[in-house]
Amino acid sequence: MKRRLAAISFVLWVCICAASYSFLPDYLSAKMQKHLGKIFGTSIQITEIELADSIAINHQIFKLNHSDSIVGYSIITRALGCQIGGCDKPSTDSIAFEQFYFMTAFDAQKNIKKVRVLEYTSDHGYQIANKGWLKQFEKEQKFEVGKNIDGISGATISVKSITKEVNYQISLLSGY
Amino acid sequence: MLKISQYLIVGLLLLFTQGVYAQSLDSLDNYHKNAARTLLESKEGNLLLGAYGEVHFEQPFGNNTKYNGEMDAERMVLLFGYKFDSKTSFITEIEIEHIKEVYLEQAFMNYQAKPWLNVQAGLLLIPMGIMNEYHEPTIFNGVNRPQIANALYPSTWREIGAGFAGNLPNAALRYQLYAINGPMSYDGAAKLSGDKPLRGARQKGAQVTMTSPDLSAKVNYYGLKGFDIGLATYLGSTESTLFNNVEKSNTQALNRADSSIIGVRMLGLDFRYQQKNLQGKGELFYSQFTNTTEYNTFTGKDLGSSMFGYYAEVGYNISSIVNWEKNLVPFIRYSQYNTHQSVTPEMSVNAKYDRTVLTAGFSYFLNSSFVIKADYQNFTNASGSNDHQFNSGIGFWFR
Repeated sequence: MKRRLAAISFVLWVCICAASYSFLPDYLSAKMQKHLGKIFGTSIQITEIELADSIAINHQIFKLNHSDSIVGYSIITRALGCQIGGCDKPSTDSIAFEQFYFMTAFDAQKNIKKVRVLEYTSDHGYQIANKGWLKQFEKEQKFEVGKNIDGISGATISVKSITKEVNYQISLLSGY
Repeated sequence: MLKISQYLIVGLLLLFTQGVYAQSLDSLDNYHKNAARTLLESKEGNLLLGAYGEVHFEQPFGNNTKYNGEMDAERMVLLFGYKFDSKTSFITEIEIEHIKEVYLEQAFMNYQAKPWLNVQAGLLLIPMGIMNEYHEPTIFNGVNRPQIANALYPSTWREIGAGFAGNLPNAALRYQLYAINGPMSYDGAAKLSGDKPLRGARQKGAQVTMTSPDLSAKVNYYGLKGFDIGLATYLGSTESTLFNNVEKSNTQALNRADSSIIGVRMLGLDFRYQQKNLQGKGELFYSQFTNTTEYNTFTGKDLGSSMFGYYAEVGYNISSIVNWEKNLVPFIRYSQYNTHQSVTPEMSVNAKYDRTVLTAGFSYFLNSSFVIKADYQNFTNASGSNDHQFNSGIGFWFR
C-alpha cells in the first residue's frame, strides 16, 4: 500500500516536473484533478502536453492515462468573462477586466464528458457555472448560442465566451 | 527505519532536481511573465468606459379626468472603471437624473484577495432584490422599474461601506456581505413616510451621518438550471442628526434623539429564470420597523410597523415564432404591495398603501444594446382608486 502511494506520488511529481511553464494559476490543476477523479477514478495519471506560448497563454492541455492506455483528455482554459458593472455586450478592450477559468474533460474518443467552471470572480454572468446549463456541452461537437446552447440574460458575454472556447478546445484537441 | 531513510533520500533527490529545474526556468519564466503582462495589462485593457440611459414618455388616462403627459430624460449614467493590476480595480458610475441632478451611483475599490474572496469598499449598491443592482434598461422589462423597487426598497439604494463578495462556482453560490451606513430618518425634518418608507432616507454617500453601521447581506444560488435565486437581508437602524453634539448626561436630548430613529429588519427573496425563449422574474419582501410609535409621535408621520409585497413577471421572446431577426419580448407583471402591512395599535391602517399594479407591454430590441419599450399599467388600491397609464421609452447600454 505504502509502495503504491509512493509510486503514485512519484508519478504525480514527475508530471509536475515535466509540465511546461504555466500561464494559468497552479491551483487550477488541483481543482481539475478533483473533477477528473470523479469521472475516471483517482488512479489515473495526468500528464501535461506542452503547447506553443501563443496557445499556452490561455490553455493547458492534459493527457489522461490508466495503466498504459489513454482514457481521456482535459483542457483548462482562461476565458473572457463579464466586466465589473455589467455583462451584456462583448468588448475588445475588456480582456484585462474580467476572466474566468473552466475545464473540459474528454474521453479517449475526444467526446466531451464534462465542463466545469473552476473559478469565476466577476459580479456578473456567474450563472454560466450552473451544472445543468453546462450539461448542454456534453451532447455534441459544435456549439452555437441560440441553437444548441441557451442564452442567459445578463450573462451574454460569458455565455458567448465559454461557447466559443469549448469549440476552440475541440479543434485544439483534434491535433493531438 | 530503513524505509524512512529511503523515502528521505528519494525526497531530497527530488527536491534537488526540482531546484535545478526551477533555476533553468528562471530566464524563461521572466520571458513568460512579460508576455503575459503585455496581454493582460495592456493599457487599453485597463480602462473601462461605458454608459446606459433611458428616456421616458408617461401618459396617465381615464377616470373622466384630463392629465398631461410627461416626457423625461430620466437618467444617463456614465461608467468608468480602472484596473490597477490583476487584483485591484476601481469602478464608478456617474448618474445624471432628470437632466439636472448629478449623483454618484457607485464608487468602490475591489481587491481580489482570493479567487473566492473580493474585498470591496466605497460607495456600494445595497444587494437587495434584483432591480437595485441590475437595472440597466436592456435587462428589465417595462419602461419604469417595478413599483416595489421604489416603495419597498429605495432603488437605486447605495451607501458608503465595506465588505466582502465572492463566488463559489462549484457550489453554485455567490455571496455579498457589507457593513454600511444606515438611511437618514431625521436631519431636522422627518425623512421617512408611510407611503414609501425609505425612499427619501437614502444618504447616497453625500456627507453621510453615521452612528453605527448596518449590515447588508445576500446569497445567490444558481445551481438549478435556468434559475438564479437570491436571499437578502438588511439589519440595522436609521441615522439621525440629533445625536450629534449632545452631552452624554443630557438624557432629555438623548431621548429626543432616540425617538428620531427606527430599527430596520428587511428580508428579500428573488428569482430570475430563463430557459430558451421563456423568461421569468420575481421579488418578494418583508420588512419590520421598530420604534415607530416614538418616531411617529415625534415627527407626526404615519410609518407602519411592517411592510410586505411581491411581484411576478413572465415574458416570452417571440422572435422565433414570427421569424424575426430582432428580439421582441411581450411580458406581463403582477405586483402587490402594502407599506402598511401592520401598524402600531394607536394608529389605523391607510388602505391607500395597499396597492396592486398590473403591467403588460413589450420590449423590442433593435440589438442587444438598444431597446424600445412600451407598456400599459393599471394601478389600484384597497381604498378603491383605479388609475391607468401608458408608458413608452427608449433605453441603451454600451461598453
